Amino acid sequence: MDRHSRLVAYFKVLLPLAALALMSTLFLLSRSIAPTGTAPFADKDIEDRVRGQQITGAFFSGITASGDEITVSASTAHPANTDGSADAEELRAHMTLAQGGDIRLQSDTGTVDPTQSQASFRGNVLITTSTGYTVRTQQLDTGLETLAAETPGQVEATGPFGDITAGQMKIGAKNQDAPVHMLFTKGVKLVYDPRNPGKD
Amino acid sequence: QDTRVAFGNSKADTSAPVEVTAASLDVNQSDGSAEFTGDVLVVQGDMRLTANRVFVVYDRGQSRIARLEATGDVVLVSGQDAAEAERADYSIDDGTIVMTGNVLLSQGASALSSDRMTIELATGTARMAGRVKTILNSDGDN
Repeated sequence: MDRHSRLVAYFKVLLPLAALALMSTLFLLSRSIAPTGTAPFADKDIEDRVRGQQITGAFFSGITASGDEITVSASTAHPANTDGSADAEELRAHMTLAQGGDIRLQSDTGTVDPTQSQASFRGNVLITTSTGYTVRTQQLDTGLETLAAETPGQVEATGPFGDITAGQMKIGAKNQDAPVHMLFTKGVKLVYDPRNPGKD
Repeated sequence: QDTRVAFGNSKADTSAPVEVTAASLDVNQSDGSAEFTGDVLVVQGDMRLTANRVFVVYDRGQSRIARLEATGDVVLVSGQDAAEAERADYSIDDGTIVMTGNVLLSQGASALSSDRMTIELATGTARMAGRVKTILNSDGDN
């Protein structure tokens, strides 16, 4: 038996064993896939999703007759109400005014009703305008086709020349192509401190 | 001719906070102009200015009020002096009020009327100009 045939005989045994070893590691050491593992969603989430249809990142935009653009967005919206309106969380609106300037609205929750083209912002409502006003209130109702918004309740605002409190605030234009006005009404009080005016 | 009179108490602090109360404040969103309407009352220290409308002229950069333009039944009261006019321009920073339009200044028994009156709040003096007339009440009971 010369060297070559001894080598062949030797490999004839060794190679199948190596193959067998490789094959077994394939099954023994592979990651354990637990077929009965749980899906990464909580049951409650699934039930919520199934019970009421939910839109994430809802978005609505429109242009009023006088050319003001209104876009309304929300992190989640549930079109669950019977009257066709949708409850929304983290409601945002951005109004770009045809005559220049813009107004941003933001609130924790609210409802959007495209059929009535109305939206209502509730909870920590924050209104900021390009004319330098920051207004805080609890609720603001606004139209979506015509730019007409008003707060049922009191507002606190910091303006370009001091702090303002008022019984109510309305945003709107007197007629179609007139500039948009922000009207603080039902008793207004301004406090202006000449010593440190821009303290906001 | 110019008539100088004392007006209000002389140590008025022109950097005291200014408070404006009114029925409503209307802010134009495209040019930012602001106007108080509906029995407007401006108070600073013991100076009180009432008018139908007050237009706010402000400098948006440093958010300072440059001037308050009061129009319509303007009445200014400071200390025991009172002045009425059709219009008053109150420049807060330099503490001057310019009243125009048949100004009537009443101080105790006597009254002066003129076309124009400039009041320096800090020094408590007023300068009346334009057809100044003094009305002395002979009976002196009011």
